[in-house]
Amino acid sequence: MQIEWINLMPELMIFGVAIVVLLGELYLSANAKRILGVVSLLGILAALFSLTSLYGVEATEFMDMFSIDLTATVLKGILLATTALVVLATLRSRMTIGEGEFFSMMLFSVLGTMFMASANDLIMLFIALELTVLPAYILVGSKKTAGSAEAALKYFLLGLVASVILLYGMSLVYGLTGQTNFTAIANALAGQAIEPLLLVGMVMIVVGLGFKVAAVPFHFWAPDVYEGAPVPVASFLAVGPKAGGFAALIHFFPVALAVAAPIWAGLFAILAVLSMLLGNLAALAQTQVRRLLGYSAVAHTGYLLVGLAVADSFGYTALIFYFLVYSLAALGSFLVILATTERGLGENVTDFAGLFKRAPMLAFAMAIFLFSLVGIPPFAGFMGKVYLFGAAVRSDLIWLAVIGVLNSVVSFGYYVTVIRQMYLVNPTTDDAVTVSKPLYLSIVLIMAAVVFLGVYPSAFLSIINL
Amino acid sequence: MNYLSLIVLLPVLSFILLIVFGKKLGDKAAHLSIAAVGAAFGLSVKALLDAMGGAHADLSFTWLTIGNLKLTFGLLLDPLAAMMLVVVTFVSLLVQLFSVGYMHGDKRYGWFYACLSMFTASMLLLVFSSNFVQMYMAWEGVGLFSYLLVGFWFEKRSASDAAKKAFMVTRVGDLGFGIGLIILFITAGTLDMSQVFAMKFAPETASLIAILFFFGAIGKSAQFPLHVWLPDAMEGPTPVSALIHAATMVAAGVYLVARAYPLFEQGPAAMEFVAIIGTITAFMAATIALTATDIKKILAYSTVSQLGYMMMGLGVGAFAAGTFHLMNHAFFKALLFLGAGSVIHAVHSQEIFDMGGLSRKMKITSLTFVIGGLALAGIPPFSGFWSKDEILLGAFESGHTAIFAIGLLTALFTAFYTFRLIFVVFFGKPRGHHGDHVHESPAVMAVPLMLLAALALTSGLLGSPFMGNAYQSFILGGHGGTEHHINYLVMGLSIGVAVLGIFGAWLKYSTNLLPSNVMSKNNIIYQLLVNKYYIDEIYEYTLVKPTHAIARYVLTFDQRVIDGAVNGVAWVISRIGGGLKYLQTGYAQNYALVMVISVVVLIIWSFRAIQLF
Repeated sequence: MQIEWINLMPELMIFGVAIVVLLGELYLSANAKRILGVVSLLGILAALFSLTSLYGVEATEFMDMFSIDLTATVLKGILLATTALVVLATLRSRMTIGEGEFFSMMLFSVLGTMFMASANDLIMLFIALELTVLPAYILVGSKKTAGSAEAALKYFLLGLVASVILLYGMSLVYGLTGQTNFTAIANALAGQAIEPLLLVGMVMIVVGLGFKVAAVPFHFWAPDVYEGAPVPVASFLAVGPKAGGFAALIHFFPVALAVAAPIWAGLFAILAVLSMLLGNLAALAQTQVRRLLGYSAVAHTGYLLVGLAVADSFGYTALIFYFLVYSLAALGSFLVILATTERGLGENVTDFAGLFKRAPMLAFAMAIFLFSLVGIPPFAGFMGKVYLFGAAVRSDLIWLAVIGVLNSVVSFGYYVTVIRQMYLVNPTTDDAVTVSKPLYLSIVLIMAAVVFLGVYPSAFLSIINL
Repeated sequence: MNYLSLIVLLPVLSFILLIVFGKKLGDKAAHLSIAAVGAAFGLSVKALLDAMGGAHADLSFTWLTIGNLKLTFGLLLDPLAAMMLVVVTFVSLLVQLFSVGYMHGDKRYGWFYACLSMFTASMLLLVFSSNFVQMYMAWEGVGLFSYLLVGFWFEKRSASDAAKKAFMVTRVGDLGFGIGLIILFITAGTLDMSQVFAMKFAPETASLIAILFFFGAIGKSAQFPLHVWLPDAMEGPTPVSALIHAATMVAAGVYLVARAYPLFEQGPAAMEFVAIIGTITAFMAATIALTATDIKKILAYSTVSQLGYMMMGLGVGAFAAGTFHLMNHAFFKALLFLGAGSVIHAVHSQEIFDMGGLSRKMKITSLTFVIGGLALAGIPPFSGFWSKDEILLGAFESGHTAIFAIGLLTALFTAFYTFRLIFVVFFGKPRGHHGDHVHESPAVMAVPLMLLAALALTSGLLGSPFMGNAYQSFILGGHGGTEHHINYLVMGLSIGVAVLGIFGAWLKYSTNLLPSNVMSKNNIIYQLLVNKYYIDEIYEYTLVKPTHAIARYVLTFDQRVIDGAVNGVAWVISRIGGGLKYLQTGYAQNYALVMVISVVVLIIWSFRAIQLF
């Protein structure tokens, strides 16, 4: 077995840095530990750099268990870039656990997600998925408060149930085909009638992965976790593990289960509609900002699933683009919350009153992120929705596009309450809210990206060949 | 040719920096903005030299692809664009220099320069556009930033009203432009300029699209009947008027017609329409200027009138003459506006009959103003003469005799109102109570005046026989320069009426030779002119008041019926949202149960779905 290690370079780098940072936590003095964040950041940037050399490479490693293609590479790029922004933003944050632990757990989770994006085999997929979520459980529970612990426990228990369902589904598929490799599964199923048992297995895999991306009705953990986890962790969860879930979805179903495409596409359409409706309606009733964003995340999972319901390459590329656009805006809004909570502001919507006067830049950034989440031009969210719903219309799923657009309109209702508070309500105090430099830089970078992608989406779309 | 994009990007960069650091920079805000526009000017000159060397650039890249629809974004450099680039950056540079003195101490100094930068950037993008969508976007950008600049002193009610009026009125024209774009896209399948201009259209189609485009130009270039916004827009700071209302934005409409000229030429009806509207505007605005007494309003009506001349020239087929007048006018009218600014700065009044004898106290201002006035009146060798003469010649030779005659009469009025202004403001005895504290403006204001005066003196020579009609052969480029000859009849008439106009103004306002009851104020014509043909009043009673009435009615309807319905829906939705909250019980075992039930339901669904396939 000949392994082209160069193709695994980004993964190896992340692995190396994660180990180094973990060891640093053990052996360094409290003061010296401060550099661990910088080390992590440099490691991620180096991995991102080595990833660029894989652009356009198509290869498989580890006896076809690990595949490198354009989709995987682009998703890893998005993941590494957003994670770098999270690390940059949290460089000066007060941690609930040691820096080394925090950053290494994040890096291990990223590593798992990268393997998920490249998984071409059921076993590889399952292991990668567990590697993604186990550090996430730890991170969610890292604050020693009841809320944090409750969220972590719920996330862990429900995650366990989901993993069990997923594993059962996988074993059914394996039992029917005798294969674990995606392509081999597809070959074994080709030209045969669809067995009822295959459908059972398929639904279970949909459910297992649906849990990871917080699709309704497997979303229950999301609001609790987004609300209960420490803010830096919640920012990371908004981008990291979710990327893995979608990577697995667009790798597994179109390849391995191509024969049953109309059925799983229908399943995803159902989940998309449920997620959009429930996410947006429940968000309307929220008064806590992070919980509101948690439900908004559920609604956005619904939008993203439209790309899978379309079930063609245009839909998948639109999904990837929307994922990038969404994760930037979601990450950005979490970082604004990070900035305000670090200065002792509360997390209720009303705590944002008059933020415009106390921190004009933060309020402006938040408004842009929320506008992008609604999908108002010229911000990236608008272009993302144009392509996503455009893909649905192209495949004659006009009803799905209409539901999506109507939901976007409803979502304006709750995002605008935050903007209203920031701009139109007077603050209780005029104290300026200061922001640490790295966090500020990170927010500005995201803001620039959100505007740039909204004005010139072709910059990214040409990378994924749309 | 990559430096071309820098011409647009430099002012954008300056805008961003000023928005972020404007407060910290304080007075240095101006330096940043001036440096950016200065560099853009340098690059524009390079672009002009390259264009004179025969360079023709079309840098486009795909901006968006949605299915088959491909939108490009790009810069197009040809003689026309190169000429406009230099005019826009040069006038913007001088206006920004002048403003250092004029706006000194204003509390929103940084914001002022930020707006000027972004206005310049939008204008440059408009000039540079290689396709109509981009041009339309820049066109709207120009409108937006001029709105902010005209309403700069928004605490003043009249200023914010004027800004609103300018924005609304030009929007009426833009609607036509937008519809024209849609029709063009449906018929041509593209909005890329070089592709559109290479196409053949049926005369009716070309006329329709061209006339719709021209509606946009009517709004932006303040042509009859949408000219009403421009005089009101004089509420903005005077340097803004010099930039927006003399050299750049109002010229955008003329530029649009010139840019889309291949399209206009295919529609004879559209050409006639442009010529007629231009002539009406030129004549009407010149007559109104005869009776106006506010120095800036006189210049504003004069601008409207001169823009009418340009349209007249383009409409009768004198492409080179129309654009030539655009360039000359940009320089001498910016000069006149800045001169007026200098006067207002000294006297703190805009009423010309509050002034008088200023030439003794303000030597530079009055000398440069007179040069600008001579250019406007059309006295050789000042710039306005050469281009106005060309326009009249174009009308004469293409057989538009009526247009030629009205144009000549308008030239008489132009000379008269210009020198009425000059004699009243700069000569004779001081009036009002500005007394002794009148002083010449500081150097930072005087230098731009002198530079512009030099151009008002010389820029016309570029298109004169003395320099072999260099401008005409450059702007017509490969289109085969027309044979130029001098028509002494037209030239003689045009000089004659200008001299006559100046002489009349001298008689009336500088001597006591005329009995005072000549031009009495009680006749109908005077009342008609002083009330600006009652066009504002006509709009007020036919459009504004009825609209307000309808709006009030709709508002009540909205509050009682629609709001009620919307609130009802919102109530129901928030009830549903509130209800959904109870799904989230908080118990992990409940959640797990829901998951398992969902698995079962989804399996049953997929079993049923398989029957369908």
